[in-house]
Amino acid sequence: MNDVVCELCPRYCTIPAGGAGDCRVRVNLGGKLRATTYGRPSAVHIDPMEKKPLYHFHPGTSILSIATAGCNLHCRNCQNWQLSQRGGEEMEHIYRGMPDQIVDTTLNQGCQAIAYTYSDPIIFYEYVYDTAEAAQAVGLYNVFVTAGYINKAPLRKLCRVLNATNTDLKAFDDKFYRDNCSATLKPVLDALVIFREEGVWLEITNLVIPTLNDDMAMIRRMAHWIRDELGAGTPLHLSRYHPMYRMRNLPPTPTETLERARQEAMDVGLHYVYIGNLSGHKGSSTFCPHDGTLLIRRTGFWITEYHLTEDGRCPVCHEKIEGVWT
Amino acid sequence: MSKKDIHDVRKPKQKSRRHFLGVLAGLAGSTATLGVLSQKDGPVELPLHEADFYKPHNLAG
Repeated sequence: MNDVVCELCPRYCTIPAGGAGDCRVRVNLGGKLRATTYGRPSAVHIDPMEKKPLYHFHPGTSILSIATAGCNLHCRNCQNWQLSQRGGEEMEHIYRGMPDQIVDTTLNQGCQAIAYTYSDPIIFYEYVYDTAEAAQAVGLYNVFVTAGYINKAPLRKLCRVLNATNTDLKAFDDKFYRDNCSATLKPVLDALVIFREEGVWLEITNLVIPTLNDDMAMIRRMAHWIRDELGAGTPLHLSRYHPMYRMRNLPPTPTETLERARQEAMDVGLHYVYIGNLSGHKGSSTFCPHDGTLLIRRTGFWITEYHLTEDGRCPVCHEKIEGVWT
Repeated sequence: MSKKDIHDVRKPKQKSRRHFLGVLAGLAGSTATLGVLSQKDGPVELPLHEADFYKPHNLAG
């Protein structure tokens, strides 16, 4: 009788009294939906912006990054499974950090932005919203690192307080989502379009996993969709897979596969296609899509050369480079 | 050696084995009890300022 339905993500969990949703952290307490990890992050770190990864959003700056336990996806290859596939009470430690404390800490540490990341911040939505609203009020930026498995209405509301996102597009294949993430593709595509429509700076990460989503025809279809629906200037990060969690049977992605996928995506017309998780590779640097000038050289998460003009243009041909540079 | 003799020789050994097993079980039980009693009820809660913000980590994202 006292069941509640969580309408945050496409799972629409029906949660019995005293129970939790699929994410483990959104619970039914006395007939009311509560987020048990509100103000209780289990991970708090200061990272380079490039680690999110965001390459076209305030490059070279530091970002306070927070996460709570739980996730609404259950990817077999999850890199952060110790955090994401547990409930809050299963964690070793929890920090007490209400929104105003997170904002104060961000300012005190000299950061310009807060990232909601590591697990999927969708499941601590209310905490994200309140913190982001408080951060926005003092001029901080908000970055949402997500798999994008969220319903449209709550996402549109959240976009009011977000400045940038890196959203996973795990594969351009519904079956992949069903088999490996216990999710579906369509809501993720909808989320990507909403981010674009709402003016949130968008970069996409696609983790390339040998034999599962490294088919070049699929990479081309994905690149076509990104170009047509989101724009050719949307940065795409093709990241190297490392064996992890419940998917240790597959090898790391070969460099040649990543290079070929990058070339396919660029041939389709995407301007900024990066190779990730492969430190020092040429494909992690930014080049002018017009004349090929090296604009930003990166090694790992660090910038080693920066040639963009102050207003974000190529110094040679003055092509405007998409991004939020200052 | 008669059967009686054999019996007499083995008896103390069996007693010793039982004693040893008893002590072992007692130790195991005590360890388990201590483990349960010392187990924390849920995560350790820390104030935010105690977070080591720059500690290297391997979380993705």
